Amino acid sequence: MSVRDLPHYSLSAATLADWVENQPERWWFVDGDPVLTGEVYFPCPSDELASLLRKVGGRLLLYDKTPGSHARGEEVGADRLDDLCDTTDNFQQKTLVLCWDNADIDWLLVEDKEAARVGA
Amino acid sequence: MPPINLHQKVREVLRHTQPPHPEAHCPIQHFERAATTGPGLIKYLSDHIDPARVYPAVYERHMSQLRRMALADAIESFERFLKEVAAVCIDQLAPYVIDDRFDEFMPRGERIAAFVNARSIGKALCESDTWIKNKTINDRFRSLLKEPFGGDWEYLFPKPNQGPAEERDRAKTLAILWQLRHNLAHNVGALTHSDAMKFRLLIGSHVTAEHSLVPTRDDLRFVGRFLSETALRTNERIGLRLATLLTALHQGDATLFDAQDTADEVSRRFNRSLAIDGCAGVL
Repeated sequence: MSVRDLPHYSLSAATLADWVENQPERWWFVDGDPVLTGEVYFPCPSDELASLLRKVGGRLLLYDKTPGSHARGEEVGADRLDDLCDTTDNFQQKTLVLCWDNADIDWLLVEDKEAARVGA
Repeated sequence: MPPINLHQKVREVLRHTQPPHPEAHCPIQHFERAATTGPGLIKYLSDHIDPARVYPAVYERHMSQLRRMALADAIESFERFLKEVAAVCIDQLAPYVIDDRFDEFMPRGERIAAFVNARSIGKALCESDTWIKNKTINDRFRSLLKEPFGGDWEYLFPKPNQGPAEERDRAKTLAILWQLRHNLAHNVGALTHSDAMKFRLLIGSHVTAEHSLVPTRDDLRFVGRFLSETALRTNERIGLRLATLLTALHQGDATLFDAQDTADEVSRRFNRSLAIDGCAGVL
């Protein structure tokens, strides 16, 4: 079942770029998106990802993990993205489940704390 | 229950396929995507499996095996990138040149069928050979990208006595990775005395024989980053050289091809704007 069939919000790549850019100390990994992984070697720092997101442009669907959510594509701002992050992995890294609105591939945007530590 | 026909089962492996990803038309994008697949797998497992909740020693043994596989996969992705870039160059140049630049790539008898049926001459000429030694790679690109009826192009990965000088360090490090790939593919990461001796010559310090490679996640990160930088640099050098050659051909005879169309096509294949005879390619 893909993000578009689950509770989800909608946002522009530029909004996501703003959110990423406001966390300059973090590094990010993209798992499964052919658009972004074909352009940049991941993990990469926030500025590199923000710049790529703005270059690619377009719109995204964002899975709403909130139990009982009825979200059906409403616009979401950068100020809500922290609340929509899943941080339940072993390292409490921010994770968003996303999908381009013109594609069917779900992918993860995951913080990479280890990459931030070693700088690569 | 009748016995399973293993001979048939082996043949059925070749029916389990999927079409290439859309970015496969662009070698550098194809490489970037492939090079992050292994690290992505390892990160996902590492992020979501708590070693304390499984058998830690077994978990580490399996993760160690995955890291070895991911390391080999990254290097092999770079090999494929080189083949795909060469194929793009051949496809672009083949209709307009009649010198001996493709002699390095001529198919042997058993490959004629693939050559006849291929949609891309470049792929038919490049895909079946291995591209895992700096010398072989240099020889092929020097010939492929030489001046029409002229001298060879520069060395892509030069030795210490070859140019361009600024590429020598990268070539030296890449040679280590080709040897690592050989070891992983043929000895499953076990360093034989022969491997240890070769590595010693390549890195200039002792390497312990009769040990197995156990790459760390940081090893994967740094190798991946090096290969990504090398792929980008290689993509830039070859793209610019191909554009220069196509410009010379177009200036010799402007009816050969449409400069703007070719600039656009070459730019898309190299994922960067390249100009041909004054026409800047649009991505």
